[in-house]
Amino acid sequence: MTACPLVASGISVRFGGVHAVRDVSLQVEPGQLVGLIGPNGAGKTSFVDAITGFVPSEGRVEIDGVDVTSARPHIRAKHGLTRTWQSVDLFNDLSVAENLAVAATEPSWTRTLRELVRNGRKTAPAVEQLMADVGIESMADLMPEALSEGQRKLVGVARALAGSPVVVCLDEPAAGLDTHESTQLGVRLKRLVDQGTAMLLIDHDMGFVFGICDHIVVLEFGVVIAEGTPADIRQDPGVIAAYLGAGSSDTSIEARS
Amino acid sequence: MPVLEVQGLVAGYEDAAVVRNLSLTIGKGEVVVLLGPNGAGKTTTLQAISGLVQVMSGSLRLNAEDLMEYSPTQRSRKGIAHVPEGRGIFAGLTVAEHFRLGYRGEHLDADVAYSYFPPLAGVANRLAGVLSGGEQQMLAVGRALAREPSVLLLDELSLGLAPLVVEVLLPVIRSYATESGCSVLLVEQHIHLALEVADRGYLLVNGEIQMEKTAKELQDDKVLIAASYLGKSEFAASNGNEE
Amino acid sequence: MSQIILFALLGLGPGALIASVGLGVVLSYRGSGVINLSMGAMVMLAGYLFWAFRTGYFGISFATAFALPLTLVAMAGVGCVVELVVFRRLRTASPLAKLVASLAVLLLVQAAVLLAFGSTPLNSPAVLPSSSVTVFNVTVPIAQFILAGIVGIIVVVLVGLYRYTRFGLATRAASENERSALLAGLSPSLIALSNTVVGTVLAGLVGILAASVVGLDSTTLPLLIIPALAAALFARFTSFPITYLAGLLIGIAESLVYLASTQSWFPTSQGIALPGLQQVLEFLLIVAALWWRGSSLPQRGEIVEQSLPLVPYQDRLLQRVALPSVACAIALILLPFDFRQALITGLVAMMICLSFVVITGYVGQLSVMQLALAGFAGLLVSHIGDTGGIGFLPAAILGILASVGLGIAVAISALRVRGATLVVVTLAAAEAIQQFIFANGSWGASQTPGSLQQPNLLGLNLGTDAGFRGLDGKLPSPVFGFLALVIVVVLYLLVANLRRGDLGRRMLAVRSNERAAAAAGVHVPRVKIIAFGLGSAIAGIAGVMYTYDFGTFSTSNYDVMIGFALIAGLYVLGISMAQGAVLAGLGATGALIPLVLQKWVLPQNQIATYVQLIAALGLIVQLNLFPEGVLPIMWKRKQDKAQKLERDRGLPAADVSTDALIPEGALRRSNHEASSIVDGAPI
Repeated sequence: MTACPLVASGISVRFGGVHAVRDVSLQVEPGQLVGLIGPNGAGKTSFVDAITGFVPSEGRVEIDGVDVTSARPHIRAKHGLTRTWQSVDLFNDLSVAENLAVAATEPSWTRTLRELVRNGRKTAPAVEQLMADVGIESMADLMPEALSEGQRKLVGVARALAGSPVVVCLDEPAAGLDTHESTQLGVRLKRLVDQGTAMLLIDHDMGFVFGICDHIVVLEFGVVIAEGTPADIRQDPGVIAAYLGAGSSDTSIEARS
Repeated sequence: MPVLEVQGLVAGYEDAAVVRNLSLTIGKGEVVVLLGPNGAGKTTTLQAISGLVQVMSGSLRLNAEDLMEYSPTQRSRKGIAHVPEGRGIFAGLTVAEHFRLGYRGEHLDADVAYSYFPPLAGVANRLAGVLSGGEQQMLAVGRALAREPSVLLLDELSLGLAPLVVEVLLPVIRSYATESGCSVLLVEQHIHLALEVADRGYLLVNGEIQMEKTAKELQDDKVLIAASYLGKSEFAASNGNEE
Repeated sequence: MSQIILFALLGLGPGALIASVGLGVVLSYRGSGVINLSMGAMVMLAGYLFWAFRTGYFGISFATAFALPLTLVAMAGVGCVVELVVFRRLRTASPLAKLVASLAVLLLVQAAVLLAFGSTPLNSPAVLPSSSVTVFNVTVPIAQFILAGIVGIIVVVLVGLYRYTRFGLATRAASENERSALLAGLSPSLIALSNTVVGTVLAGLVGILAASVVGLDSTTLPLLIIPALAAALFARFTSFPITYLAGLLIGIAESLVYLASTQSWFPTSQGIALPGLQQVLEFLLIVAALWWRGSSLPQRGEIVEQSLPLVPYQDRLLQRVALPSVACAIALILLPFDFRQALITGLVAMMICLSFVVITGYVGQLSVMQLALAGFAGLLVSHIGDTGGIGFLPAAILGILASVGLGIAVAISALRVRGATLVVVTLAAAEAIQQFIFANGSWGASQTPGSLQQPNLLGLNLGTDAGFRGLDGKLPSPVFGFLALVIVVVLYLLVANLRRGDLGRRMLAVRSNERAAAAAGVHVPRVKIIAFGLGSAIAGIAGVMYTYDFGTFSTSNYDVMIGFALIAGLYVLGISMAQGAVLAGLGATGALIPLVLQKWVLPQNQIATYVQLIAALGLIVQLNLFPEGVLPIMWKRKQDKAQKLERDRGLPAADVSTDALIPEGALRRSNHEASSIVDGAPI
């Protein structure tokens, strides 16, 4: 039996007097693409910050059966939990290929010593492959500042995927992409999940999330208000109310089609 | 004559206009809501008005005075009060200190804030950082009201707050606008709540105004709005980035 | 017992002075987010100006009642100029740039004072009464109490100002969230200006009063910044009363250390009490403060554009190096002895600069102790490489290892702190090494000149006294220059190549964004420590070579100020490129460019001061006009031009498919947004 890529249980985050995330539990099964949605400020990013170790939190986090609850972010990354940010924090002094190489390369003393005397330019085959999978091979030698917002997002996603993670948390990868780009991204993400990388996807665009996710968790005010397949969530009156404000529940989302 | 008049506004960043050819007006005492899906450019519009984001072309007039050459500080002093997403209060200052914090010559009337938001008076001597989310938002709005602005820009008051809080906040803003004649431009994701207090609304999709209607008409047209909110498939996708 | 009380009380005056510099630092930080290293220099400047006004140095002498306010007005003017000319444009710059800018101010002020008033310490006319009082059966000059009292009153005023006035509220608000302050109609620029001026005037006032107690000295006063930083750290760069108390206590502790050093039980070295314990104390206090307070230092909510000097990926390193190396080798043979000596000294300085490239250029950490580490290695070699010692290679290796050990030890002590605060630890460490180790009678610079055995490898003399003497047949031998050249070339290739490998990538990842680096699996502290180890090793090699170059260990080569000037010059040229290190090395004290200037352009004496002045002015201009540094910006322009040329020819840029949209010279959004906000801010 394979272990669950990600099990987060009882996660709570507080900022001063504000309880951003309250006792949220969530798991991502092997080969699953789980969507985490909710209105602005619902605590989605705080939840990801918590499980990846960037904000102090209560609760328990397991990656592939290993308890990483008290581990620092880079240790969690080594165990296979990586993430992207909304702000796409690329390394601005490194080319696209180099950005990926940082995440893809396991540091080793022998390599470091070898590279002291030798040019290390050659891009690793794994990085080449990944760039092709994500569709950014044409940008390999460009610096981040030369990329459009959408391209930067893609590189950010690719960097999180470098180093063969067990589970990747994507924070709004489709924001800033046009329809064509986001559809393409969806197809690529789906393919990567089929190849074995589990994913947790945050996005505002319900159309995007509904289209590609296997399972959806809805947060509002830091708590889970609904969970289920896209079809279940589409029908859930609580979710509609959360998005459109109380009183709108009479308008089913289905009404648009 | 409108208090705030925006014409042909193009705003954004170096290589990407987030908002294109946007025109809107707000009259005295009017509450106008700016609707649209995430990434449509609502926050950018507010930031362009208050000066936080670069305006590439178009015009901005406050009471017929051109605002384009003014810095954010100067626009604020001209009477534009912008309550940004995430509240924009100062965690290290007490509630009362927020009302003593003004530029030279500015006098903030704390009583205005306390009368519209009575719970604030009870926590006057506490640090803003330890208040509950709802109290922090009341402080942010209360401080803006105390400045007696001619235009009030409110960005996502409901961010991270229980609907109950927003249900309390929005009617207060409505009555303030009516009583003081202040013009309000509101960005709000709880469409239903917003339309209940607003006079008019603009629907912004992909950086451009799709329609302008009275709040009443928009309430009846909720299906359209809901669709534009829930996916970009129907409407051309958003190029903007509001986060 | 009464002695202890006496010396404790005698520490009040110096303690008050430390506290006032600390208050200046806190004001500067709260107002504009700059860790202002020049506050100690402001104390010195005020002291000298007051002395000049009182004694008629400028032609007219004033009574104290006029000279004092006149000096304070002048200090307010200095504060304004510094803020408007140096810091204003850097409001949205990286913390590193701000820090380096304050270094430029420090260098500039000190150079100006040295040129105007000379380097001899002066006796400042007393302002405070010279009478004494008797407390607890000891007689203490009353000035000590008055000083402590005055600074105490200032603290009370500052606390009131910050708590109750609009100015204070506005400062607190703006330092917490600059954007919200803008929306509230506040002007962060004006707030920063006011705080800098208040801090400068305050430090100046106490400087004038204390000058007669502590003496006017252009080398020691600027370094008051070190204990002052310790005090400010204890106060988390926030609390005025804690800064005051910590400052006073540091003054008292140092006075007591002095008292202890006069006792018979105190450890001695060659019959003289162990020197430098005060500086060691300051260093330990800073380390303690960082461990205790470091993780909770307030993060300022300012709008920051994290743009650091560009680190280009360079191809064909060997080809680039070949021609200059050959030219240098020929020059070593052809040049007359004094120029040859200067060239060799320049080569060694290049090594030091390369160590800055690794730590500051690649990892973005500012270490000012590289020169001290070099000195440490050099000192060790001067002892164990003596005639009858262990010989060249073992001595050199030991020296380098010692430098690495010390460098890493200091780095570890600072790991709790993110960002640019590391400079504080390295500054204190540099001064502690200087005073505690170099100045020590037994293990310091005690060796008799000429007894050092020159480097000798496999029977081949590589030293300055080797047989081959160049065209003019004089010392030093070009052979030693060849040795230095080979080492520089090797180190250059190593540092330049580092940028292209995995370790270099991780360094740049850490420099770009520590958070994202950690998420990509990079062990951020380890990368920093490796960088420090590498940088210290390079510095150690330089130190070993310095010692052989001069044939002896000389403390004055490793002065903290010389290190500052070197950093300034390097930063101007390009701290992120190995080429920058080469050019900066040529401009180092004792190297080729200063020699040329000294021979034909500038007055013979004080050449080091002029170099310092030029470096400081250059740095201020560079930070304002082309913050990336001269060489990186040239490199970038060349790249852009090449790209444009290719496009004009109708050729697609290499490896770029047509659908990849590349906006020409695209700026990152945050930069643009930030600068557009600040540009329009009114005064």
